[in-house]
Amino acid sequence: MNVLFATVRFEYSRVMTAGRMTWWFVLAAFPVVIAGLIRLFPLNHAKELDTHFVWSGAMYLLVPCITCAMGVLLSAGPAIATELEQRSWVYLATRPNGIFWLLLGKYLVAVAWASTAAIAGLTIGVWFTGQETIVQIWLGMAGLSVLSSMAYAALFMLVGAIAPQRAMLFCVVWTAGVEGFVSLIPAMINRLTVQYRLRALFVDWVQPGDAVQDNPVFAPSLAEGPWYLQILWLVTLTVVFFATAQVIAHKREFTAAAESDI
Amino acid sequence: MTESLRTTSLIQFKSVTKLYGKVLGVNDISLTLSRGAYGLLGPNGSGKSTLLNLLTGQLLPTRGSVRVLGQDPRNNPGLMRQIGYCPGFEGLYTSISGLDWVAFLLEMHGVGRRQARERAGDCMALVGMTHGMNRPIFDYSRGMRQRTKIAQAIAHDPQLLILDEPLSGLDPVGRAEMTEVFRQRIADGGSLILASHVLHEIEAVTDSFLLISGGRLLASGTANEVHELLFDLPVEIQIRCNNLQRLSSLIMEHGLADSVSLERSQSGAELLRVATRQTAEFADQLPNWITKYDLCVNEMQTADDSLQALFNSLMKIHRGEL
Repeated sequence: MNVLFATVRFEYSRVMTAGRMTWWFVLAAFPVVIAGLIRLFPLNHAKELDTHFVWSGAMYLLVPCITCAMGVLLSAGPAIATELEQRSWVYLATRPNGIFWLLLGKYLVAVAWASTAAIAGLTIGVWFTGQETIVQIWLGMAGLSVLSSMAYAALFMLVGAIAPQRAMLFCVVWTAGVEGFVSLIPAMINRLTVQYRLRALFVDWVQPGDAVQDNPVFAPSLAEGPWYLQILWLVTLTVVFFATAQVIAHKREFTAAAESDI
Repeated sequence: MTESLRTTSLIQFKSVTKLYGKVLGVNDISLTLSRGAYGLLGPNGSGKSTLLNLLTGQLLPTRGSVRVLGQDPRNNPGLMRQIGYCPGFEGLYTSISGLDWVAFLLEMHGVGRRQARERAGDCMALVGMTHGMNRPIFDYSRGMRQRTKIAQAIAHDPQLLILDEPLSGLDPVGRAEMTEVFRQRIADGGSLILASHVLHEIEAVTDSFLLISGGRLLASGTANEVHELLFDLPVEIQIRCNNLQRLSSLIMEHGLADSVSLERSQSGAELLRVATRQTAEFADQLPNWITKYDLCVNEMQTADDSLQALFNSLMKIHRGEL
Protein backbone atom coordinates (compact mmCIF):
# COMPACT_ATOMS: atom_id res chain seq x y z
CA MET A 1 0.00 0.00 0.00
CA ASN A 2 2.98 2.30 0.58
CA VAL A 3 3.73 2.13 -3.12
CA LEU A 4 0.13 3.07 -3.99
CA PHE A 5 0.20 6.05 -1.63
CA ALA A 6 3.56 7.12 -3.04
CA THR A 7 2.32 6.87 -6.62
CA VAL A 8 -0.92 8.74 -5.90
CA ARG A 9 0.93 11.43 -3.97
CA PHE A 10 3.48 11.80 -6.73
CA GLU A 11 0.88 11.91 -9.51
CA TYR A 12 -1.23 14.32 -7.50
CA SER A 13 1.74 16.67 -7.09
CA ARG A 14 2.19 16.57 -10.85
CA VAL A 15 -1.41 17.68 -11.53
CA MET A 16 -1.12 20.56 -9.07
CA THR A 17 0.51 22.78 -11.69
CA ALA A 18 -0.86 26.11 -12.87
CA GLY A 19 -1.80 24.70 -16.28
CA ARG A 20 -3.62 21.65 -14.91
CA MET A 21 -5.38 23.70 -12.23
CA THR A 22 -6.57 26.15 -14.88
CA TRP A 23 -8.15 23.25 -16.74
CA TRP A 24 -9.72 22.07 -13.49
CA PHE A 25 -11.37 25.49 -13.02
CA VAL A 26 -12.50 25.57 -16.66
CA LEU A 27 -14.15 22.16 -16.19
CA ALA A 28 -15.77 23.19 -12.93
CA ALA A 29 -17.02 26.43 -14.49
CA PHE A 30 -18.56 24.69 -17.49
CA PRO A 31 -21.82 23.45 -15.87
CA VAL A 32 -22.07 26.69 -13.88
CA VAL A 33 -21.89 28.89 -16.97
CA ILE A 34 -24.33 26.76 -18.99
CA ALA A 35 -26.81 26.49 -16.11
CA GLY A 36 -26.56 30.27 -15.63
CA LEU A 37 -27.25 30.86 -19.33
CA ILE A 38 -30.27 28.51 -19.22
CA ARG A 39 -31.58 30.46 -16.25
CA LEU A 40 -30.97 33.82 -17.93
CA PHE A 41 -32.34 32.89 -21.34
CA PRO A 42 -35.08 30.27 -20.86
CA LEU A 43 -36.66 28.80 -23.98
CA ASN A 44 -40.15 30.07 -24.79
CA HIS A 45 -41.80 26.67 -24.62
CA ALA A 46 -39.86 25.69 -21.44
CA LYS A 47 -42.68 27.02 -19.30
CA GLU A 48 -44.89 24.25 -20.65
CA LEU A 49 -42.40 21.59 -19.48
CA ASP A 50 -41.90 20.15 -16.02
CA THR A 51 -39.04 22.30 -14.65
CA HIS A 52 -37.66 19.46 -12.51
CA PHE A 53 -37.44 17.33 -15.67
CA VAL A 54 -35.72 20.13 -17.60
CA TRP A 55 -33.22 21.02 -14.87
CA SER A 56 -32.37 17.51 -13.76
CA GLY A 57 -31.94 16.49 -17.42
CA ALA A 58 -29.72 19.50 -18.08
CA MET A 59 -27.59 18.86 -15.00
CA TYR A 60 -27.25 15.17 -15.91
CA LEU A 61 -26.01 16.09 -19.38
CA LEU A 62 -23.69 18.83 -18.11
CA VAL A 63 -22.13 17.17 -15.06
CA PRO A 64 -21.79 13.34 -15.17
CA CYS A 65 -21.88 13.17 -18.97
CA ILE A 66 -19.83 16.11 -20.26
CA THR A 67 -17.75 17.43 -17.32
CA CYS A 68 -16.75 14.02 -15.98
CA ALA A 69 -16.06 12.55 -19.42
CA MET A 70 -14.03 15.62 -20.42
CA GLY A 71 -12.14 15.54 -17.13
CA VAL A 72 -11.01 11.95 -17.44
CA LEU A 73 -10.44 12.41 -21.16
CA LEU A 74 -7.81 15.02 -20.29
CA SER A 75 -6.24 13.07 -17.44
CA ALA A 76 -6.69 9.32 -17.99
CA GLY A 77 -6.74 9.24 -21.82
CA PRO A 78 -3.13 10.32 -22.36
CA ALA A 79 -1.81 8.67 -19.15
CA ILE A 80 0.38 6.15 -20.97
CA ALA A 81 1.12 8.36 -23.99
CA THR A 82 2.63 11.17 -21.89
CA GLU A 83 5.02 8.76 -20.15
CA LEU A 84 6.06 7.29 -23.49
CA GLU A 85 6.46 10.67 -25.16
CA GLN A 86 8.66 12.09 -22.44
CA ARG A 87 10.44 8.73 -22.22
CA SER A 88 9.90 8.35 -18.48
CA TRP A 89 8.08 5.03 -18.89
CA VAL A 90 11.20 2.89 -18.60
CA TYR A 91 12.17 4.33 -15.19
CA LEU A 92 8.82 3.17 -13.79
CA ALA A 93 8.60 -0.06 -15.77
CA THR A 94 11.90 -1.23 -14.29
CA ARG A 95 10.52 -1.04 -10.73
CA PRO A 96 8.80 -4.00 -9.05
CA ASN A 97 5.22 -4.01 -10.44
CA GLY A 98 5.98 -0.47 -11.62
CA ILE A 99 3.50 -0.48 -14.50
CA PHE A 100 0.67 -1.73 -12.28
CA TRP A 101 1.21 0.94 -9.63
CA LEU A 102 1.76 3.66 -12.19
CA LEU A 103 -1.54 2.96 -13.96
CA LEU A 104 -3.44 2.53 -10.71
CA GLY A 105 -2.03 5.77 -9.32
CA LYS A 106 -2.80 7.67 -12.50
CA TYR A 107 -6.30 6.19 -12.58
CA LEU A 108 -7.13 7.23 -9.01
CA VAL A 109 -5.76 10.73 -9.53
CA ALA A 110 -7.71 11.08 -12.80
CA VAL A 111 -10.94 10.02 -11.06
CA ALA A 112 -10.32 12.43 -8.18
CA TRP A 113 -9.36 15.27 -10.53
CA ALA A 114 -12.42 14.91 -12.77
CA SER A 115 -15.02 14.10 -10.11
CA THR A 116 -13.97 16.97 -7.82
CA ALA A 117 -14.21 19.42 -10.74
CA ALA A 118 -17.64 18.01 -11.61
CA ILE A 119 -18.94 18.14 -8.04
CA ALA A 120 -17.57 21.68 -7.55
CA GLY A 121 -19.35 22.79 -10.73
CA LEU A 122 -22.48 20.94 -9.67
CA THR A 123 -22.48 22.54 -6.23
CA ILE A 124 -22.58 26.04 -7.71
CA GLY A 125 -24.55 25.24 -10.86
CA VAL A 126 -27.36 23.50 -9.00
CA TRP A 127 -28.36 26.82 -7.38
CA PHE A 128 -29.40 28.10 -10.79
CA THR A 129 -32.08 25.41 -10.99
CA GLY A 130 -34.17 27.10 -8.30
CA GLN A 131 -35.88 23.79 -7.65
CA GLU A 132 -37.28 22.50 -4.40
CA THR A 133 -35.60 19.21 -5.31
CA ILE A 134 -32.16 20.81 -5.26
CA VAL A 135 -30.81 18.37 -2.64
CA GLN A 136 -32.14 15.38 -4.55
CA ILE A 137 -30.57 16.66 -7.76
CA TRP A 138 -27.23 17.38 -6.02
CA LEU A 139 -27.04 14.00 -4.30
CA GLY A 140 -27.99 12.10 -7.46
CA MET A 141 -25.57 14.02 -9.67
CA ALA A 142 -22.71 13.77 -7.18
CA GLY A 143 -23.08 9.99 -7.02
CA LEU A 144 -23.38 9.77 -10.80
CA SER A 145 -20.29 12.00 -11.17
CA VAL A 146 -18.14 9.63 -9.14
CA LEU A 147 -19.44 6.55 -10.96
CA SER A 148 -19.13 8.25 -14.35
CA SER A 149 -15.54 9.38 -13.64
CA MET A 150 -14.57 5.89 -12.45
CA ALA A 151 -16.03 4.13 -15.48
CA TYR A 152 -14.88 6.60 -18.13
CA ALA A 153 -11.38 6.86 -16.62
CA ALA A 154 -11.01 3.08 -16.89
CA LEU A 155 -12.43 3.09 -20.42
CA PHE A 156 -10.13 5.88 -21.59
CA MET A 157 -7.16 4.23 -19.95
CA LEU A 158 -7.95 1.11 -21.97
CA VAL A 159 -8.19 3.14 -25.18
CA GLY A 160 -4.89 4.81 -24.24
CA ALA A 161 -3.24 1.41 -23.75
CA ILE A 162 -4.51 0.15 -27.11
CA ALA A 163 -3.63 3.27 -29.10
CA PRO A 164 -1.34 5.52 -27.03
CA GLN A 165 -0.30 7.74 -29.93
CA ARG A 166 -3.89 8.66 -30.82
CA ALA A 167 -5.47 8.17 -27.41
CA MET A 168 -7.40 11.44 -27.20
CA LEU A 169 -8.78 11.12 -30.72
CA PHE A 170 -9.94 7.53 -30.22
CA CYS A 171 -11.45 8.40 -26.82
CA VAL A 172 -13.55 11.16 -28.42
CA VAL A 173 -14.59 8.91 -31.30
CA TRP A 174 -15.50 6.08 -28.90
CA THR A 175 -17.46 8.39 -26.60
CA ALA A 176 -19.42 9.94 -29.46
CA GLY A 177 -20.00 6.70 -31.34
CA VAL A 178 -20.50 4.12 -28.62
CA GLU A 179 -21.52 6.06 -25.52
CA GLY A 180 -23.49 8.67 -27.45
CA PHE A 181 -25.07 6.63 -30.22
CA VAL A 182 -24.83 2.89 -29.52
CA SER A 183 -26.07 3.32 -25.94
CA LEU A 184 -29.38 4.57 -27.36
CA ILE A 185 -29.88 1.59 -29.66
CA PRO A 186 -32.50 -0.68 -28.11
CA ALA A 187 -30.50 -3.88 -28.52
CA MET A 188 -28.22 -6.12 -26.48
CA ILE A 189 -25.13 -4.09 -27.38
CA ASN A 190 -26.25 -1.00 -25.49
CA ARG A 191 -26.15 -2.97 -22.24
CA LEU A 192 -22.36 -2.93 -22.44
CA THR A 193 -22.16 0.86 -22.43
CA VAL A 194 -21.58 3.08 -19.42
CA GLN A 195 -24.33 5.51 -20.46
CA TYR A 196 -27.00 2.79 -20.41
CA ARG A 197 -26.33 2.20 -16.69
CA LEU A 198 -25.83 5.85 -15.77
CA ARG A 199 -29.18 6.79 -17.36
CA ALA A 200 -30.97 4.10 -15.34
CA LEU A 201 -29.40 5.39 -12.13
CA PHE A 202 -30.31 8.97 -13.08
CA VAL A 203 -33.95 8.01 -13.53
CA ASP A 204 -33.93 5.99 -10.30
CA TRP A 205 -32.15 8.54 -8.09
CA VAL A 206 -33.28 11.91 -9.46
CA GLN A 207 -36.79 10.91 -10.60
CA PRO A 208 -36.96 13.32 -13.55
CA GLY A 209 -40.58 12.41 -14.19
CA ASP A 210 -42.68 10.30 -16.48
CA ALA A 211 -41.52 12.29 -19.49
CA VAL A 212 -38.41 10.09 -19.68
CA GLN A 213 -39.90 6.68 -18.89
CA ASP A 214 -42.84 7.29 -21.27
CA ASN A 215 -40.75 8.73 -24.07
CA PRO A 216 -40.79 6.25 -27.01
CA VAL A 217 -37.15 7.10 -27.86
CA PHE A 218 -35.62 6.97 -24.36
CA ALA A 219 -37.73 4.30 -22.69
CA PRO A 220 -36.19 1.31 -24.58
CA SER A 221 -32.70 2.59 -23.81
CA LEU A 222 -33.18 2.61 -20.05
CA ALA A 223 -31.79 -0.31 -18.11
CA GLU A 224 -34.22 -2.27 -16.02
CA GLY A 225 -33.54 -3.53 -12.53
CA PRO A 226 -32.75 -2.00 -9.15
CA TRP A 227 -30.06 0.68 -8.64
CA TYR A 228 -27.60 -1.69 -6.99
CA LEU A 229 -27.68 -3.91 -10.04
CA GLN A 230 -26.76 -0.92 -12.23
CA ILE A 231 -23.91 -0.05 -9.86
CA LEU A 232 -22.73 -3.65 -9.98
CA TRP A 233 -22.72 -3.43 -13.76
CA LEU A 234 -20.78 -0.17 -13.70
CA VAL A 235 -18.22 -1.53 -11.26
CA THR A 236 -17.86 -4.67 -13.39
CA LEU A 237 -17.35 -2.62 -16.55
CA THR A 238 -14.82 -0.42 -14.72
CA VAL A 239 -12.84 -3.41 -13.44
CA VAL A 240 -12.90 -5.11 -16.85
CA PHE A 241 -11.75 -1.95 -18.65
CA PHE A 242 -8.99 -1.23 -16.13
CA ALA A 243 -7.79 -4.83 -15.90
CA THR A 244 -7.66 -5.07 -19.70
CA ALA A 245 -5.65 -1.83 -19.83
CA GLN A 246 -3.23 -3.33 -17.30
CA VAL A 247 -2.87 -6.56 -19.26
CA ILE A 248 -2.21 -4.68 -22.49
CA ALA A 249 0.32 -2.36 -20.83
CA HIS A 250 2.16 -5.38 -19.42
CA LYS A 251 2.07 -7.35 -22.67
CA ARG A 252 3.05 -4.59 -25.08
CA GLU A 253 6.64 -3.55 -25.64
CA PHE A 254 6.28 0.09 -24.67
CA THR A 255 10.01 0.61 -24.79
CA ALA A 256 11.41 3.95 -25.75
CA ALA A 257 13.94 2.14 -27.90
CA ALA A 258 12.66 3.10 -31.30
CA GLU A 259 14.40 1.76 -34.35
CA SER A 260 16.61 4.83 -34.32
CA ASP A 261 17.89 3.83 -30.87
CA ILE A 262 18.94 0.29 -31.78
CA MET B 1 24.34 -13.56 -0.73
CA THR B 2 23.35 -17.21 -0.83
CA GLU B 3 25.43 -19.86 -2.57
CA SER B 4 22.81 -20.32 -5.30
CA LEU B 5 22.82 -16.58 -6.00
CA ARG B 6 26.60 -16.55 -6.23
CA THR B 7 26.70 -19.43 -8.68
CA THR B 8 23.84 -18.24 -10.89
CA SER B 9 25.11 -16.70 -14.11
CA LEU B 10 24.69 -12.98 -14.45
CA ILE B 11 23.29 -13.10 -17.96
CA GLN B 12 22.37 -15.86 -20.32
CA PHE B 13 21.33 -15.28 -23.92
CA LYS B 14 20.33 -18.35 -25.92
CA SER B 15 20.16 -17.71 -29.68
CA VAL B 16 18.45 -14.38 -29.10
CA THR B 17 17.17 -12.48 -32.10
CA LYS B 18 15.12 -9.29 -31.91
CA LEU B 19 13.38 -7.86 -34.94
CA TYR B 20 11.60 -4.51 -35.18
CA GLY B 21 9.38 -5.39 -38.10
CA LYS B 22 11.96 -6.03 -40.80
CA VAL B 23 14.76 -4.21 -38.98
CA LEU B 24 17.22 -6.37 -37.12
CA GLY B 25 17.95 -5.26 -33.56
CA VAL B 26 20.11 -8.15 -32.40
CA ASN B 27 20.92 -11.21 -34.42
CA ASP B 28 21.28 -14.71 -32.99
CA ILE B 29 23.28 -13.82 -29.88
CA SER B 30 24.30 -16.63 -27.54
CA LEU B 31 26.19 -15.61 -24.46
CA THR B 32 26.71 -16.56 -20.83
CA LEU B 33 28.36 -14.16 -18.43
CA SER B 34 29.30 -14.78 -14.84
CA ARG B 35 29.07 -12.06 -12.21
CA GLY B 36 31.38 -9.12 -12.72
CA ALA B 37 31.76 -5.94 -14.73
CA TYR B 38 31.47 -5.83 -18.51
CA GLY B 39 31.67 -3.15 -21.12
CA LEU B 40 29.25 -3.40 -24.02
CA LEU B 41 31.04 -1.77 -26.88
CA GLY B 42 29.79 -0.97 -30.33
CA PRO B 43 29.17 1.88 -32.74
CA ASN B 44 25.84 3.75 -32.80
CA GLY B 45 23.06 1.54 -34.14
CA SER B 46 24.97 -1.65 -33.35
CA GLY B 47 22.24 -3.11 -31.09
CA LYS B 48 23.50 -2.05 -27.66
CA SER B 49 20.26 -0.42 -26.52
CA THR B 50 18.20 -3.33 -27.83
CA LEU B 51 20.38 -5.72 -25.86
CA LEU B 52 19.94 -3.66 -22.70
CA ASN B 53 16.18 -3.44 -23.24
CA LEU B 54 16.09 -7.22 -23.54
CA LEU B 55 18.03 -7.46 -20.28
CA THR B 56 15.61 -5.18 -18.44
CA GLY B 57 12.58 -6.99 -19.85
CA GLN B 58 11.36 -3.99 -21.81
CA LEU B 59 11.61 -6.01 -25.00
CA LEU B 60 10.76 -9.61 -25.69
CA PRO B 61 13.13 -11.56 -27.93
CA THR B 62 11.61 -12.49 -31.28
CA ARG B 63 13.48 -15.79 -30.95
CA GLY B 64 15.53 -17.36 -28.19
CA SER B 65 15.53 -16.75 -24.47
CA VAL B 66 17.06 -14.25 -22.05
CA ARG B 67 17.89 -14.92 -18.41
CA VAL B 68 19.21 -12.35 -15.98
CA LEU B 69 20.43 -13.66 -12.61
CA GLY B 70 18.78 -16.93 -13.64
CA GLN B 71 15.35 -15.38 -14.20
CA ASP B 72 13.19 -14.23 -17.10
CA PRO B 73 13.34 -10.43 -16.91
CA ARG B 74 9.92 -9.80 -18.48
CA ASN B 75 7.37 -8.52 -15.91
CA ASN B 76 9.45 -9.93 -13.07
CA PRO B 77 9.06 -7.81 -9.89
CA GLY B 78 11.58 -9.92 -7.95
CA LEU B 79 14.27 -9.35 -10.55
CA MET B 80 13.51 -5.64 -10.85
CA ARG B 81 14.51 -5.28 -7.18
CA GLN B 82 17.96 -6.57 -8.13
CA ILE B 83 18.49 -4.43 -11.22
CA GLY B 84 19.33 -0.74 -11.53
CA TYR B 85 18.93 0.75 -14.98
CA CYS B 86 20.22 4.02 -16.34
CA PRO B 87 18.85 4.46 -19.89
CA GLY B 88 20.70 6.29 -22.63
CA PHE B 89 18.07 9.02 -22.92
CA GLU B 90 16.89 11.52 -20.31
CA GLY B 91 13.15 11.08 -19.76
CA LEU B 92 13.15 12.89 -16.42
CA TYR B 93 10.16 14.79 -15.03
CA THR B 94 11.45 18.33 -15.30
CA SER B 95 8.96 20.04 -12.97
CA ILE B 96 10.13 18.23 -9.82
CA SER B 97 13.44 18.19 -7.99
CA GLY B 98 16.05 15.49 -8.47
CA LEU B 99 15.71 14.50 -4.82
CA ASP B 100 11.92 14.05 -5.12
CA TRP B 101 12.36 12.01 -8.29
CA VAL B 102 14.94 9.64 -6.82
CA ALA B 103 12.95 9.36 -3.55
CA PHE B 104 9.76 8.53 -5.46
CA LEU B 105 11.49 5.80 -7.46
CA LEU B 106 12.83 4.37 -4.20
CA GLU B 107 9.31 4.39 -2.75
CA MET B 108 8.25 2.31 -5.74
CA HIS B 109 10.55 -0.35 -4.32
CA GLY B 110 8.46 -0.33 -1.16
CA VAL B 111 10.84 1.85 0.86
CA GLY B 112 9.06 4.10 3.39
CA ARG B 113 8.82 7.81 2.62
CA ARG B 114 11.25 9.12 5.23
CA GLN B 115 13.79 6.37 4.59
CA ALA B 116 13.47 6.92 0.83
CA ARG B 117 14.25 10.63 1.16
CA GLU B 118 17.26 9.93 3.37
CA ARG B 119 18.60 7.27 1.02
CA ALA B 120 17.88 9.46 -2.04
CA GLY B 121 19.80 12.31 -0.39
CA ASP B 122 22.76 10.01 0.24
CA CYS B 123 22.76 8.82 -3.37
CA MET B 124 22.50 12.36 -4.74
CA ALA B 125 25.49 13.24 -2.55
CA LEU B 126 27.37 10.19 -3.86
CA VAL B 127 26.97 11.44 -7.44
CA GLY B 128 27.93 14.98 -6.44
CA MET B 129 24.46 16.48 -6.55
CA THR B 130 24.06 17.74 -3.00
CA HIS B 131 24.05 21.37 -4.06
CA GLY B 132 21.35 21.00 -6.73
CA MET B 133 19.16 18.17 -5.52
CA ASN B 134 16.33 20.42 -4.29
CA ARG B 135 16.13 22.44 -7.51
CA PRO B 136 13.65 21.45 -10.23
CA ILE B 137 15.20 19.26 -12.90
CA PHE B 138 14.45 21.78 -15.69
CA ASP B 139 17.10 23.92 -14.03
CA TYR B 140 19.77 21.19 -14.34
CA SER B 141 22.60 21.09 -16.84
CA ARG B 142 22.97 17.97 -18.96
CA GLY B 143 25.70 16.69 -16.66
CA MET B 144 23.50 17.17 -13.59
CA ARG B 145 20.68 15.24 -15.24
CA GLN B 146 23.10 12.46 -16.05
CA ARG B 147 24.22 12.32 -12.42
CA THR B 148 20.57 12.20 -11.30
CA LYS B 149 19.93 9.29 -13.67
CA ILE B 150 22.89 7.44 -12.17
CA ALA B 151 21.60 8.19 -8.65
CA GLN B 152 18.18 6.65 -9.38
CA ALA B 153 19.87 3.55 -10.81
CA ILE B 154 22.02 2.89 -7.72
CA ALA B 155 19.60 4.16 -5.03
CA HIS B 156 18.04 0.78 -4.22
CA ASP B 157 21.46 -0.88 -4.10
CA PRO B 158 20.90 -3.34 -6.96
CA GLN B 159 23.05 -6.40 -7.57
CA LEU B 160 23.30 -5.59 -11.26
CA LEU B 161 23.70 -2.09 -12.68
CA ILE B 162 22.82 -1.68 -16.35
CA LEU B 163 24.14 1.60 -17.71
CA ASP B 164 23.53 2.89 -21.23
CA GLU B 165 26.04 5.61 -22.15
CA PRO B 166 26.17 6.80 -18.51
CA LEU B 167 28.99 9.29 -19.01
CA SER B 168 27.63 11.18 -22.01
CA GLY B 169 27.10 14.85 -21.27
CA LEU B 170 29.48 14.84 -18.31
CA ASP B 171 32.57 17.03 -18.18
CA PRO B 172 35.97 15.36 -17.60
CA VAL B 173 35.73 15.85 -13.83
CA GLY B 174 32.23 14.38 -13.81
CA ARG B 175 33.40 11.42 -15.88
CA ALA B 176 36.20 10.71 -13.46
CA GLU B 177 33.86 10.99 -10.47
CA MET B 178 31.20 8.72 -11.94
CA THR B 179 33.83 6.23 -13.10
CA GLU B 180 35.02 6.08 -9.50
CA VAL B 181 31.43 5.44 -8.32
CA PHE B 182 31.18 2.50 -10.74
CA ARG B 183 34.58 1.14 -9.71
CA GLN B 184 33.58 1.30 -6.07
CA ARG B 185 30.42 -0.69 -6.77
CA ILE B 186 32.47 -3.32 -8.57
CA ALA B 187 34.93 -3.40 -5.69
CA ASP B 188 31.99 -3.92 -3.32
CA GLY B 189 30.98 -7.03 -5.26
CA GLY B 190 28.32 -5.54 -7.51
CA SER B 191 27.92 -6.50 -11.14
CA LEU B 192 27.77 -3.97 -13.90
CA ILE B 193 27.12 -3.74 -17.62
CA LEU B 194 28.21 -0.49 -19.18
CA ALA B 195 27.27 0.24 -22.78
CA SER B 196 29.24 2.84 -24.65
CA HIS B 197 30.65 3.63 -28.05
CA VAL B 198 33.63 5.34 -26.39
CA LEU B 199 36.37 2.83 -25.68
CA HIS B 200 38.27 4.61 -22.97
CA GLU B 201 35.09 5.02 -20.92
CA ILE B 202 34.85 1.24 -20.72
CA GLU B 203 38.57 0.68 -20.27
CA ALA B 204 38.47 2.99 -17.25
CA VAL B 205 35.90 0.76 -15.55
CA THR B 206 36.60 -2.78 -16.68
CA ASP B 207 38.81 -4.84 -18.98
CA SER B 208 36.07 -7.36 -19.77
CA PHE B 209 33.95 -6.44 -22.69
CA LEU B 210 31.50 -7.52 -25.32
CA LEU B 211 31.90 -6.19 -28.83
CA ILE B 212 28.71 -5.83 -30.81
CA SER B 213 28.12 -4.60 -34.31
CA GLY B 214 25.22 -4.97 -36.73
CA GLY B 215 23.26 -6.72 -34.00
CA ARG B 216 25.87 -9.50 -33.75
CA LEU B 217 28.25 -10.26 -30.96
CA LEU B 218 31.73 -10.02 -32.47
CA ALA B 219 33.71 -11.07 -29.42
CA SER B 220 33.57 -11.28 -25.66
CA GLY B 221 36.11 -11.66 -22.87
CA THR B 222 39.06 -9.66 -21.62
CA ALA B 223 41.23 -7.67 -23.98
CA ASN B 224 43.95 -10.34 -23.69
CA GLU B 225 41.54 -13.16 -24.48
CA VAL B 226 40.34 -11.43 -27.61
CA HIS B 227 43.91 -10.65 -28.64
CA GLU B 228 44.61 -14.37 -28.54
CA LEU B 229 41.75 -14.91 -30.96
CA LEU B 230 43.41 -12.46 -33.28
CA PHE B 231 46.88 -14.02 -32.98
CA ASP B 232 46.95 -15.33 -36.52
CA LEU B 233 45.60 -12.19 -38.11
CA PRO B 234 47.81 -9.91 -40.22
CA VAL B 235 49.37 -6.89 -38.54
CA GLU B 236 49.03 -3.56 -40.27
CA ILE B 237 52.20 -1.49 -40.64
CA GLN B 238 52.21 2.09 -41.90
CA ILE B 239 55.41 3.36 -43.50
CA ARG B 240 56.52 6.71 -44.87
CA CYS B 241 59.84 6.77 -46.83
CA ASN B 242 61.55 8.45 -49.77
CA ASN B 243 60.77 5.64 -52.25
CA LEU B 244 57.53 3.88 -51.39
CA GLN B 245 57.17 2.36 -54.87
CA ARG B 246 60.51 0.59 -54.55
CA LEU B 247 59.77 -0.58 -51.02
CA SER B 248 56.34 -1.94 -51.96
CA SER B 249 57.75 -3.90 -54.88
CA LEU B 250 60.47 -5.39 -52.63
CA ILE B 251 57.86 -6.49 -50.09
CA MET B 252 55.76 -8.16 -52.78
CA GLU B 253 58.81 -9.80 -54.46
CA HIS B 254 59.77 -11.41 -51.14
CA GLY B 255 56.15 -12.47 -50.45
CA LEU B 256 56.13 -10.80 -47.08
CA ALA B 257 52.70 -9.17 -47.23
CA ASP B 258 49.08 -10.21 -47.47
CA SER B 259 48.28 -6.83 -48.96
CA VAL B 260 50.05 -3.59 -49.78
CA SER B 261 48.40 -0.29 -50.52
CA LEU B 262 49.82 3.08 -51.38
CA GLU B 263 47.83 6.08 -50.15
CA ARG B 264 48.19 9.79 -50.69
CA SER B 265 47.02 12.20 -48.00
CA GLN B 266 45.35 15.57 -48.71
CA SER B 267 48.69 17.31 -48.17
CA GLY B 268 50.21 15.13 -50.89
CA ALA B 269 52.33 12.95 -48.58
CA GLU B 270 52.39 9.27 -49.47
CA LEU B 271 51.87 6.40 -47.05
CA LEU B 272 52.37 2.67 -47.52
CA ARG B 273 50.05 0.31 -45.65
CA VAL B 274 51.31 -3.23 -45.35
CA ALA B 275 49.29 -6.08 -43.88
CA THR B 276 51.60 -8.95 -42.95
CA ARG B 277 51.65 -12.12 -40.86
CA GLN B 278 55.45 -12.39 -41.23
CA THR B 279 56.41 -9.52 -38.96
CA ALA B 280 59.70 -11.12 -37.86
CA GLU B 281 60.91 -11.69 -41.44
CA PHE B 282 59.78 -8.22 -42.38
CA ALA B 283 61.72 -6.73 -39.46
CA ASP B 284 64.86 -8.70 -40.55
CA GLN B 285 64.63 -7.64 -44.19
CA LEU B 286 63.85 -3.96 -43.82
CA PRO B 287 67.33 -2.83 -42.57
CA ASN B 288 68.96 -4.71 -45.45
CA TRP B 289 66.74 -2.96 -48.01
CA ILE B 290 67.41 0.42 -46.44
CA THR B 291 71.15 -0.09 -46.82
CA LYS B 292 71.10 -1.80 -50.21
CA TYR B 293 68.60 0.52 -51.98
CA ASP B 294 69.40 3.73 -50.13
CA LEU B 295 65.91 4.01 -48.66
CA CYS B 296 65.19 6.62 -46.02
CA VAL B 297 62.34 5.58 -43.72
CA ASN B 298 60.83 8.68 -42.10
CA GLU B 299 58.09 7.00 -40.15
CA MET B 300 56.96 3.47 -39.38
CA GLN B 301 54.20 2.48 -37.02
CA THR B 302 51.95 -0.46 -36.32
CA ALA B 303 48.39 -0.15 -35.10
CA ASP B 304 48.67 0.35 -31.36
CA ASP B 305 47.80 -2.30 -28.84
CA SER B 306 44.77 -0.57 -27.41
CA LEU B 307 41.18 -1.73 -27.40
CA GLN B 308 40.66 0.58 -30.36
CA ALA B 309 43.05 -1.49 -32.48
CA LEU B 310 41.34 -4.65 -31.36
CA PHE B 311 37.95 -3.26 -32.15
CA ASN B 312 39.10 -2.12 -35.61
CA SER B 313 40.40 -5.63 -36.34
CA LEU B 314 37.17 -7.27 -35.24
CA MET B 315 35.12 -4.86 -37.31
CA LYS B 316 37.25 -5.71 -40.35
CA ILE B 317 36.70 -9.43 -39.78
CA HIS B 318 32.97 -8.78 -39.43
CA ARG B 319 32.95 -6.90 -42.73
CA GLY B 320 34.99 -9.65 -44.41
CA GLU B 321 38.00 -7.39 -44.97
CA LEU B 322 40.38 -9.70 -43.11
